[in-house]
Amino acid sequence: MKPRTLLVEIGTEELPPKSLRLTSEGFAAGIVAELDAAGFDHGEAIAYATPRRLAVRIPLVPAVLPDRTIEHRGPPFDRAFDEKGNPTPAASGFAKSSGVAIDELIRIDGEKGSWLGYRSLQAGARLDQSILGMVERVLGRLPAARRMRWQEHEFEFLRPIRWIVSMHGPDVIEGTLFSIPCTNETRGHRFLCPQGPVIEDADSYEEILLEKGRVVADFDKRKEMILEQAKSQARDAGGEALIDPDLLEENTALVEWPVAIRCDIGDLPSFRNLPDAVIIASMQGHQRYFPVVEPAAESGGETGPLMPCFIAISNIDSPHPEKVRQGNLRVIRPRLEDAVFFLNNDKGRSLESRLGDLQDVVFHARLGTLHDKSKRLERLAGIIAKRMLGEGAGSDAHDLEMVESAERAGLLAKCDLLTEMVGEFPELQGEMGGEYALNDSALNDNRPAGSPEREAVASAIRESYRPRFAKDSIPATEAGQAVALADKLDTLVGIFAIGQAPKADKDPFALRRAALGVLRILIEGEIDLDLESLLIAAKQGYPEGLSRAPGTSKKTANKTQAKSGIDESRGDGAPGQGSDRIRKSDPDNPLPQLRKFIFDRLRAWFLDQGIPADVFNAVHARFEERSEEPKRPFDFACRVYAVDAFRRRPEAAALAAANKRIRNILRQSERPLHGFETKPKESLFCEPSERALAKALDAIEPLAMERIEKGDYTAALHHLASLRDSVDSFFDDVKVMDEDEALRNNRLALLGRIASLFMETADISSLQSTGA
Amino acid sequence: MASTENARDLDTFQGLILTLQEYWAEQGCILLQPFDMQVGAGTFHPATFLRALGPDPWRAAYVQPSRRPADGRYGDNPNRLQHYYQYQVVMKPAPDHVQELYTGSLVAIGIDPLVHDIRFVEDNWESPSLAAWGLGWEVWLNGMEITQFTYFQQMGGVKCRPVMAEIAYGLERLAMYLQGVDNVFDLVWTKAKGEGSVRYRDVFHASEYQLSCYNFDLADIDMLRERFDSYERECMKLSTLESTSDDASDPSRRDNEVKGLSPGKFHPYPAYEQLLLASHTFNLLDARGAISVTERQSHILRLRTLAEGVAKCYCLLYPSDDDGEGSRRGDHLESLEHESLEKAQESDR
Repeated sequence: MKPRTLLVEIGTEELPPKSLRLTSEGFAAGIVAELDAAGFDHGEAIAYATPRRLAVRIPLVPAVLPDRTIEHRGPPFDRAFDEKGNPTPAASGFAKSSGVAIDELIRIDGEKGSWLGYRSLQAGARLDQSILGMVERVLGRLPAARRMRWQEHEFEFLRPIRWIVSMHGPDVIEGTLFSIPCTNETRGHRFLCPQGPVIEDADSYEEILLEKGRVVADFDKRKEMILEQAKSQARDAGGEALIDPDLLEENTALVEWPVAIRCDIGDLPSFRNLPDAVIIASMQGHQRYFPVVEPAAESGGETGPLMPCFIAISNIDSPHPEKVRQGNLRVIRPRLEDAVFFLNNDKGRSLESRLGDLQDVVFHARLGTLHDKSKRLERLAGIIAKRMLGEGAGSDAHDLEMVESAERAGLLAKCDLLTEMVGEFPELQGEMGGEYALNDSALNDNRPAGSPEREAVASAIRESYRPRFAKDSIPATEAGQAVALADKLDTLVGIFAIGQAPKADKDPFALRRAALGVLRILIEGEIDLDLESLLIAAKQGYPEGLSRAPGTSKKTANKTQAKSGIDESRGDGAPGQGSDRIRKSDPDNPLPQLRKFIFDRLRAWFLDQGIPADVFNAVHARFEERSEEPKRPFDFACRVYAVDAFRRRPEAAALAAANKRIRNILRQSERPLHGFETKPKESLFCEPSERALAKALDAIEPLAMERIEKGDYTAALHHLASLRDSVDSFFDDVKVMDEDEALRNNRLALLGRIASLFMETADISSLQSTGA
Repeated sequence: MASTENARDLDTFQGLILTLQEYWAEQGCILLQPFDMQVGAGTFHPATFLRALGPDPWRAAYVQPSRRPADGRYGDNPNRLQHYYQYQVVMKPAPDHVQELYTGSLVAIGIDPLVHDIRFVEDNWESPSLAAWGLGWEVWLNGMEITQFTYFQQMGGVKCRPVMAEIAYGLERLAMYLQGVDNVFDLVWTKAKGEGSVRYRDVFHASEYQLSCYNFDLADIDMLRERFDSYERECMKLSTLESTSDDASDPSRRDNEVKGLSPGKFHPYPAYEQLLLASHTFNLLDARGAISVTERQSHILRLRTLAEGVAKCYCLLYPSDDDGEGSRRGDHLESLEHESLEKAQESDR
């Protein structure tokens, strides 16, 4: 029989939407892996996912695997029979234990001899007998935040399973799974098609569900429909839909038959009086609506101002869409009115007046209250702001104000956590602080405490949580950058100090995100500060002896430390950091471990930007060569970007090869790759091309070094790229390892200079991905 | 006849209740009456909390007045009340088509699912103070949450098996939708014959105002604290599995306790009522703003301990009507240990 299409559909009650895509992909991949492991050929799997089903359709799966002949070998043939031709005890024993008559045993010839034995035919595995077991295993393994039981069953899944379709071509694969008989009858839309339809053939699954079941089974097709409908509805209102990618995914996972409905709020006082961010949060958060903004082109900004309407994605093609619309409008109005109520209540007090209340809110049991944290942020943001200004600056009015703003914003950044609005919409933390800080400055002066907050302070508070997610921007203002850095560094240092660094997939304090945030602010903000000294400054904000758990004996404290010491050494391949080693054993100093943790985020971040791993490695190798740890993220990134630009140059491949050659030569003669002191002597050059190379080097070296000192590695490598021809000629014409020791050493010195010069930026010899 | 039709008029609050009563009675639920104590939700009715435990089938439906002292707004807010009604349906084990039974009830109260957008949106339930959790949804009617639908997985720290499904309708919200009013106090309770309508305002506005005053401003904090402690002691007395520490040295007595075979010792029903009193007292303290962040944690933990004690006692005393007691007890103890192990692992995480 020809291979046919396999279809498995697990019908469920409404599945958790945020994880639906992952669940579906895991299901399809799991079934494919099971088929592979069992030896079934197959075509490319297509996964389907809706709120009420996970399905996979796999073409070209055979019904039965070919039978297999299995050889069973007994004793060597020459020891199977005695001289008279009678079976030896070994032979008869084998026959007996295999249950085969002695005269049915045959001679099996192999490369290394002959045996007495027999062949048996093993029937090939049947798909209909294997598939349900596979499905059961795959469902049991699917990642799930929480599983549940239902009825009296002991098995668990994300939600109750209510029907199962399993088919091979037009045939039902019969059986029972999770106490449910498998059939060819699926279920369509909960209300539009309450019974059936029957799937006539595995290949027609999608079409039948669409036409009879009123279900768009394909996740991405549904997503595309929602996107199109939302955009077009927004266009009709003269605006643009504000579509958050995660919210789009979530909406896709919440409907089987998407119908976008635009709801016009009308002239509502609450809409006029609320900041856009609050309205957007009200729409997106609980209600999963898409807000609509005025077209960006007209307003000139990134996104235009909010329009008084939103788009709801419903799951029904209602004959009376106005009822669905009215219903949704009835929900949003009280929500916006609640928000106005919160806003007005919150504005009755200044932000600063909430500082004292932060004493009642624990940041972490061992790291004090949010009040303590606020005080630390005031100090640390100030220190960072001063360092950002650099040595020379700091005296003019603008600089002073920046430092003051950072300190003030650091102090007040957490106050909005106690406001009613942030209680209702946690995602508005920071945003509301900024809003209320402006309010403090706009209102009268007769409030009990709190002086007017300047715009800069408000912006810095607003920006203090950035970047909040992968594509979020970093703070735009210097003071905002200082506060955002301070907040993240304080949390990182504190949590590491009490030994709660993230492990494997457990990162309850979101420290990975904080670490990446620190790096991004330093790099994208072009802030060339030393990470280690920032960590030390953050550490100094905490009291001494933080690492020792309160009330534990010294012995326990040491134990904890020893454990984290093991964790560190695992990923730490760089030997020879004597000073770091010593500090690592100091229970009060988590900083080396933390610095490594932060830098570890860099590699993946560059990869995400399309920068190949070997570029990162080339830069990293430059530090390893010197037994140094990279300390300045911005400087490191400048090198990475320079090398990434360099690798695309036409000279890159040749120079990478030349550097590799130089490196090998120097290694063999036991010379270092950098800091090569000996200068080659003019008098010892005898070949024209070595003289030419030396001359070219003399011309370029001061130019390149000047650039390197300014951190302009791209320009430095640009200069070095011009060496390509002279280097190539040198290797064509000159024998480095000359018998004359003086000549040899002179040439090694010349190569050493080149290697050294390249190594100032990165180890170009390790570049592989040259070319555009 | 005419008066019956009036009673079932879905334009009235009582018509809505009567329709739901009738519908769920047809689905085999026993129609219970509200529990006569102050509780925060229908879940606290013993017909839910206690009946979710143990192996026996159970189907019930009832209205439950629910108290949320902190949600009061002196009768000023169109959507918030400190006293409101839930309509609660529980089915154990829940039948295969329990979701369809529920959507059938919406049709019964006049909501056409082919016209309105009705959806089950993930919303899981967890009550730290009851040591309870379940998975389920909030049900949306055109984007508005009208019902909580939960499959209980654990109650009072004990694994629920078979699994009970809980359907909790927010009656005021649903009625506001059906009547098309934006203020809860404008709801028509009933259209009395010959006279004007009776509205929600006429029934509850005065009590909303006075109780908000009490909850937020007048309740005696010291008295509430003392009461919380007394209720807790009383609950412990009636439900603690361990023998009192003074008697621990008496080996014969201790033996009895450990086996849990002296049913006379445990009284889960009165113990549970003490827990409810403590729980409401905690809510009042909270509304009075008398509970700090750390205190809140410790109070929730104390309530949780009580809930776990009550649930254990209940399982030991009412294992099953149709099975040998001894073996059932053994089963339950096993499942208790299993659960507490799981809990320990969870808290480890």
